[in-house]
Amino acid sequence: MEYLDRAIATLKALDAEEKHIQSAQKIISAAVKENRLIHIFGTDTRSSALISEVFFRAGMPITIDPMLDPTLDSAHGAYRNQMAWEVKNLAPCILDYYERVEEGDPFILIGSDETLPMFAQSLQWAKEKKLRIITISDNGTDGEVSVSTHCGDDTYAIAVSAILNMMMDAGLPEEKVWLGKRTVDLDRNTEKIDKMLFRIRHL
Amino acid sequence: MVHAALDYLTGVQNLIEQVKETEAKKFAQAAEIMADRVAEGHLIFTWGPGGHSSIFSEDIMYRKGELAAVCPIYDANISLSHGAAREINGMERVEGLGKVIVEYNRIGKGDVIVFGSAYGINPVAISAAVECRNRGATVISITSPSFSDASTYAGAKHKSGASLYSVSDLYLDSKVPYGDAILEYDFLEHKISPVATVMQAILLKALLAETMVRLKEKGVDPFTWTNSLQEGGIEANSAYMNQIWGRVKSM
Repeated sequence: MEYLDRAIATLKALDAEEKHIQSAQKIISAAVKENRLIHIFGTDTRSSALISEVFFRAGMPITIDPMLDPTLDSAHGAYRNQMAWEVKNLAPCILDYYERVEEGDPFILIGSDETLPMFAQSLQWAKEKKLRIITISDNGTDGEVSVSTHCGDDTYAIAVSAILNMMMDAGLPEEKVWLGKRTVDLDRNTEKIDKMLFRIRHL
Repeated sequence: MVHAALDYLTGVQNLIEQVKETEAKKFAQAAEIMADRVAEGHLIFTWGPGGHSSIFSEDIMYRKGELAAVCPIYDANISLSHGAAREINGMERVEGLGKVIVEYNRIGKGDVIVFGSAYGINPVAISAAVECRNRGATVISITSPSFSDASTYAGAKHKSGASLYSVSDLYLDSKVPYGDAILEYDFLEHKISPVATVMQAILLKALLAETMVRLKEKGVDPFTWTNSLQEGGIEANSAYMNQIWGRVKSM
């Protein structure tokens, strides 16, 4: 029960972020209407895994572009991952692989430690590309919109998941979101899959 | 004392000579089909649907002097890179994966796919080749029919018992002998030194060379990659790369 109390406290603390979350939602909604890709990058292993919360998920925008890399995937070695977070100049190398990034696209940057080279250099990369930066991190940092998770390490995943869900506008038109109940209904989304399969690298 | 290294090289040379003796006409036929499709704007799919088989497709990608109009399939399930035993003992025997991978890569009418599997028997390979043909694609295989025919263990084969060569529109015989290993010495209990990857890769390279020359004969300059490790290499490749980004998921 103690853990549940901490989880509830984390979620309640997000009330303080309402204004920032709404600002992020506006940026994302505008991008969805303009058919822009919404790029998301998690700068450490858990942050990267949490992208699945909004990628190819019923009710979520079809234009979510997850930037997923073996460097940050536990399937390729958790210990290896953690050493890689510290490696300078690795972040731009990962991010440059995503060829569909365009000036003005939203870029959601998630990270539990803003001091890591992986986070700091991703932020710099996005600034150079003139993206609309939304950060989700422990303390909030200098994105166009910065949302703080207000949490300890043990409830980080809960906070990030909640923030990502709140950032996505529930009122988006059907043609802009994946249809389905708990999972994406493949039969009802065939045209969207055809449209996005070669636009989203990891679809 | 034996000289195993030279014995191996001699063995491979002999196999290559056998290929030259019997496969020239098929190289020409296959290359003609591929050149026609590339001239029409298609990419050539290549896939080695098996553990070691997958290597032959990796060898040609983004490589100096190699035809760029190819779409090699690298699948995480059908690759040694996520566990050799996982792939060979398990994944390549899951028949349903063949259809999933073909669908995911959107192989369809008018496409050509070159399958490479010396053994040519596993369920993923057979089901994928059948699925490609059902969708109207032309299936060319690089495989060893004598190896397939000698493989009788049902646990490693497609349920139909079919082999890759029998479900292809055209096949090139890579002459890989049954058992794969070619060196036999009386002081060793088993044969050593397999040749499948070497032979499969050589045949694919020969086929692409023939295709590029035929393309030129049809009035189309085949775009080939420049070495990106040389100054100006990345720039020389970038325009073509921009054309195929997205479409070629393995780029």
